[in-house]
Amino acid sequence: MTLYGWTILIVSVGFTTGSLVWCLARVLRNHGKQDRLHGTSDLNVRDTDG
Amino acid sequence: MSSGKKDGWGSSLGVILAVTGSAVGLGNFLRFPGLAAKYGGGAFLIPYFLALLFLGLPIAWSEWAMGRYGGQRGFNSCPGIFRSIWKSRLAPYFGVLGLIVPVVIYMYYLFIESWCLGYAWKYLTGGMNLGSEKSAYTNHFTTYVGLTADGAFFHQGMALPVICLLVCIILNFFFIYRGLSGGIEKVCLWGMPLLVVCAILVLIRVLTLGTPDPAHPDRNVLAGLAYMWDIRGGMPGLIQSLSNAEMWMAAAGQIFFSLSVGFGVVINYASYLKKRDDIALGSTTAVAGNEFCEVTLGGLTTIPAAFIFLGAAGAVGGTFGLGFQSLPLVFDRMPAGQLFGFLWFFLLFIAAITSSLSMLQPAIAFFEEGLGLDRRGSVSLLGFVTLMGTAIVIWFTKDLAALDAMDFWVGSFCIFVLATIQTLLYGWVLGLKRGREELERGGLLPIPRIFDFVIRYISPLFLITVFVLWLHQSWASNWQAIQTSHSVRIALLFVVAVTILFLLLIARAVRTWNARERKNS
Repeated sequence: MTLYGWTILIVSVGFTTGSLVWCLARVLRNHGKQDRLHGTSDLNVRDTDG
Repeated sequence: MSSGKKDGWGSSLGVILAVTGSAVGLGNFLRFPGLAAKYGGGAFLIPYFLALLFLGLPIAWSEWAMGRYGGQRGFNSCPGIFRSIWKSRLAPYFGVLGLIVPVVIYMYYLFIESWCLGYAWKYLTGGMNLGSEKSAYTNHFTTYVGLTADGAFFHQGMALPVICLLVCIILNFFFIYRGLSGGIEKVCLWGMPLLVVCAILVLIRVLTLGTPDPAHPDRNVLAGLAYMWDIRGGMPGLIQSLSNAEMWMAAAGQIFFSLSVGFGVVINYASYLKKRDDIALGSTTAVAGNEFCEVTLGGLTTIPAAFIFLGAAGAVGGTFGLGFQSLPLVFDRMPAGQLFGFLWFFLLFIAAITSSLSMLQPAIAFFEEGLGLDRRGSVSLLGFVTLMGTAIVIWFTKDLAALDAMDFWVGSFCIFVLATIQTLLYGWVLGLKRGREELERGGLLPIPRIFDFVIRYISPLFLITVFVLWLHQSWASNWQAIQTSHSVRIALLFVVAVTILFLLLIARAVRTWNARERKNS
C-alpha cells in the first residue's frame, strides 16, 4: 500500500474512531450523574411559602 | 398533543444508541465498502467526508432540533411536528412522508432482515457448507429468496426462510409493543454493543489472515487493505477520480442514506427528548457511532476479506451480491469460517432489527397522538398494514421487482423529498435563531456559527443537486419498470393506497388537534 493509502486509512479510521470515543466519553461522564446528556436540571420554581 | 401517559426514553445513552441503531444497517457493512472499492478506493473517502460535513451532520442536527421543538409542543409524529413549526394548513400533510417512508421501507426491510437471521442460523447449525464454488452460493440465495418466479418463496412451505420471516415479524412487534424505553431502547442498549463486539471479532480475524492461499501470494491482508483504501494511480489517479461527478453523487447518497436522515425516524425519536437534553452532543455521538461502524468496521473488514479470498473480481458487486453470495464463499475458505460467518450474519441481523424497529415507531406515535389509539390498537393497525405490504414484497420475488420498486420510489425518491422539506423547514420556516436556541439549549457542545449558513444555503443546494443528478441517472430504468412489470405496478399501487390512507388519517387528526386547541384557548 502506498503512502497515500496509509494516510487515508489512518486519517479516516482515526477520525471516526476518535470522534466516537470523544463523544461517548462526554456522554458517559454525565450518564450516571443525571438522566440527561449535559442538560442542567430544570429549576424548581414551585412556591414553597405557606 | 396526545392525552394520557406519554412514552419516553429511559436514558440519554439509550436514545443515542437507538438513533445509532436506526442508522446502522446493511449499508454500513456492505454498500459503503462496495462503493469505495468501485470508485477507486481511498479517493472515494474525500467526497464522502465532505458530504458528511456539509450534508449529513447539518441535516442530522436540524432534524434533532426540529424533533424536540415539536416534542416540547406535544407532538411526536411528523405531521404534528411539521404543524407546530409551520403554521400552514398544508404543513401536516407534508408530514405524510415522515410516516410512509419508514412504514414502506419496513415492509421490504423485514424480508432482508429475515435473510440475515436465516443465514446466521445456517452458519450456527452447519448448514452453509456448500462447497468452494460461487455458483452454489448464488443458487442457494436464489432459492432462499425465491428469485426464480413470483410466489417461489412460498413454494418452500414451512421451511427456514418462512420461519425466519415469521420470527422477525413477531420480534419486531413484540419489542415495538413494549414501547420506547421498554422495547426499542432495551434492544439497542444490548444490541449495539453486541454488534460492535461481533464486528471487532470478525475484523480481527480478517486482519490476521496473512496470506491464506500460497497459490495466490498477491492476495494478502495488505493487498486487501490497499484495494479498499489506496488511491489507484497515485496523484493523477486521484485527480481523475475527483473529476468523476458520479463518484460525488454516490458519496453524498451514501452519507445521506447511511445516517437515516430524511427517514422520519430521527425527528420522531428526538421528539421524546427532555427540554434540556444536550441534543447537539446526542446527535453528534449518533453520527459518530454510525461512521465508526461504517468506515472503521465496514471499511476494514468487507472488501479486504473478499479481496484476500476472491481477488479484485470478487470484491465488487451490489449489496446483495457481495453480502449473500460472495461473502459466504469467503467464509467457506476462511479458517473457522463457520464461526465467523455466524458472527457476521448475526451482526447484520442486529443491525437490521435495530433499524426495522425504528421504522415502526413514527406511525405508532401518529396513531396514538392523532387518532387517540392506545398502544395495542396502534400496533394492531400498523401490523395489519405492514403485513399486507410485506406479503406483496415476498410474493413478487422474481428479480426482487416489488422490493426494488419500493426501494427506489420510497426508500430513495421520497427520502430525498422529505429531507429537502425538512432542511427548508429548519432554515427558512423555523428559522436559524429558534433552531439554534433549540439546538444549544442544555448543551455544552458548541455548534459552529458556520452551521447556520450551511444548513440554510449549502445543504439544500447540495441535496437538490445530488437529487437531480441521481434522478437523471436512475429515472429511465425505473420508469420503464413501471410500464413493463405488473408486479412493480401492484407494489406501487399499494404504496399509493397507503399514502392516501395516511392522508385521510392526518385530516382526521388535524380536526382533532384543532378542536382541542380551540377548547384549550
